[in-house]
Amino acid sequence: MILQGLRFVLPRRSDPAQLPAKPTVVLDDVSKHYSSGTGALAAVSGVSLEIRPGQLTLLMGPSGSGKTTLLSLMGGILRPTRGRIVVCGKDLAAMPEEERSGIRLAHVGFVFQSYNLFPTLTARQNVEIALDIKGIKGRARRMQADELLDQMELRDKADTYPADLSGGQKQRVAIARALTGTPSVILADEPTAALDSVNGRRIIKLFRGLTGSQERAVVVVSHDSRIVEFADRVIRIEDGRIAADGPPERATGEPAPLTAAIIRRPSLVESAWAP
Amino acid sequence: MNSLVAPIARCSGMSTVLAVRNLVHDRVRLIVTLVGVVFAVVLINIQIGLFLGFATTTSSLIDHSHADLWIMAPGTRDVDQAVALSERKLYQALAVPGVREAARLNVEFAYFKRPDGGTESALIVGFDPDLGLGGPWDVVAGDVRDLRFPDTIMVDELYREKLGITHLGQIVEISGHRAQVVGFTHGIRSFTQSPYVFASTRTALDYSRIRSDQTKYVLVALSPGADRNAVKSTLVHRLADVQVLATDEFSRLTQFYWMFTTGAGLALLVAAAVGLAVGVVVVSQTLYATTVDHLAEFGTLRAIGASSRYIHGVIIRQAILSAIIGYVLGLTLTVVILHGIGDAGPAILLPWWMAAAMFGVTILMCVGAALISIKKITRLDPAMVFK
Repeated sequence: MILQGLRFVLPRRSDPAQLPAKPTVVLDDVSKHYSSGTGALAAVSGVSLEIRPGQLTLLMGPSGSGKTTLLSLMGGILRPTRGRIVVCGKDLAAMPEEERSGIRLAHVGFVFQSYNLFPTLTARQNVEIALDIKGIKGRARRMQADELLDQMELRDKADTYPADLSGGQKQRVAIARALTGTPSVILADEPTAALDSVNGRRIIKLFRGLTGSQERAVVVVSHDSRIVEFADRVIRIEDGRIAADGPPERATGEPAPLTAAIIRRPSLVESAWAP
Repeated sequence: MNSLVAPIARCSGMSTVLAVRNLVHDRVRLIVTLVGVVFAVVLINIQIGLFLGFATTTSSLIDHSHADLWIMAPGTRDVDQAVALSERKLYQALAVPGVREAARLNVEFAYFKRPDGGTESALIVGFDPDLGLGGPWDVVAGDVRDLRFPDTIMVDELYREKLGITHLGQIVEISGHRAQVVGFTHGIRSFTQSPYVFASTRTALDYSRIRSDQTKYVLVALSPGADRNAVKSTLVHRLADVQVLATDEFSRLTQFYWMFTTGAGLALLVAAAVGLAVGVVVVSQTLYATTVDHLAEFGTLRAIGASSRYIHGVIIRQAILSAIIGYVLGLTLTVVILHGIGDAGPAILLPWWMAAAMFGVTILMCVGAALISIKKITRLDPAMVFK
């Protein structure tokens, strides 16, 4: 019901010309500064971008470049020092934490590098708790959790504790949890960092599948260059600023082998990519 | 464990499941938490139980007197210590409309000589066996009417060993006078540890220093339908230089005197408060440690959109679960201790209302102890999930 047809289906790369006009996430001149002993430290500076549904956007850049801060800002976990962040039409910048929490609950799914599963809960209960927070109770909650685990091919691990799951299985449980309530945007922080190449590839294919089948925006922060071939768009962050923004072939210098054949037109944001 | 948790999840949601899991995850810490709660519950139960037991003991003679009004010397503050009145007050009281019966009652310390030669202090209660006002209750051997005979007494079973009494009919010596034990009561304790020895007014005069034309108290039983307050006012007016108290008033006065002016009750209440404080400290520390251990998980909850109320609910549930388990164990242990003490020790009362109130106190104690953890969570930065 929730994820019908999701299972490892690789949809075609999004055609920018056919993208819905309304972006899921809009960042307008967003900055995030932290105070330090020597003054303010700019983690993100004057970033403006739009994240559209059906796109898998990859945020790349060196360590400390501000990728994760940017992801946190998009998800309303951090409040910007300056600028406007709009998620599904709601401006998060001025909202108090409790309201931002409500927006995260309704529209955003998070996937973390270290999975952040509850070690004392089984795989099913890890998914159920997210459904519970969203107000889904009783039998419906359990059925939806089982359905999500089924989509992740983890039904047989429903009663297994995270400690007894492999890294890939844990990340799939985390994705199932992120998908509860059909969020408009999935934000993933280094989702393949703790996985071997096979599992990493499997997970990223999963993310790829999430965009096409659900018309959902997926933003992935990663160092992993193998992911580039699955992305619709690569944003390179350096020193808290967008250094480059465009389709993956521009990020790697050549079209991604998997998707080169279906790329027809340059990205709408390609102009921002030009040096 | 899963089979245990599944019904909880169905009935009360995942926050309860998470609370249970967090609690049982570290069993050592759970045990420390429960020990804290159990310690507090037992200590508070015992101390408050002692307080109630002592308070009840101090006024038991009054509460079981079957009298409606007590006439005594002005300034009398407790039943064990009073100045004697003229016997004429008895007859004056009998003349007041609404008074059905009036009887003398003397409560006076005397020396009780044990068969082995030792002496014990005893409180001689001289009452009128024909009227029964102020007489013994819960008689388990003998008959109160036997006290009409001269030199006969009745004591409580609890004090048989203390007084060296082995059997009914035994001859003992009180204040140099002969006395024969004609009956035993059960459970009539004395707060002063000087046992009550019941005798007729006539016999009691021989054991005490009260003159035959005096009495410590005049006990009044009202006619059916008589207005207690009106009779009381008339007695105060007609019997000059006396204090007239209703039975419940004198009971409270006596309890207050022993429990608060002597410091005995305050000591018990302070001990109960210490129990409560220890419980709060132990539970708050262990709950806080549990919260800190699971901080990353609370951060994840926050990041995925859980409201403060939801997260606080998890901590509150942990506190309530600790309280429920600790209360049940603590109450069970209290009952075992009380059963173990039996009649040999001090009177410790555990009425149902106190057990119920204690449940509320335990819940409040644990929820109060959880406030520090809640404060910690309130300051939690959801961005920690990316660190």
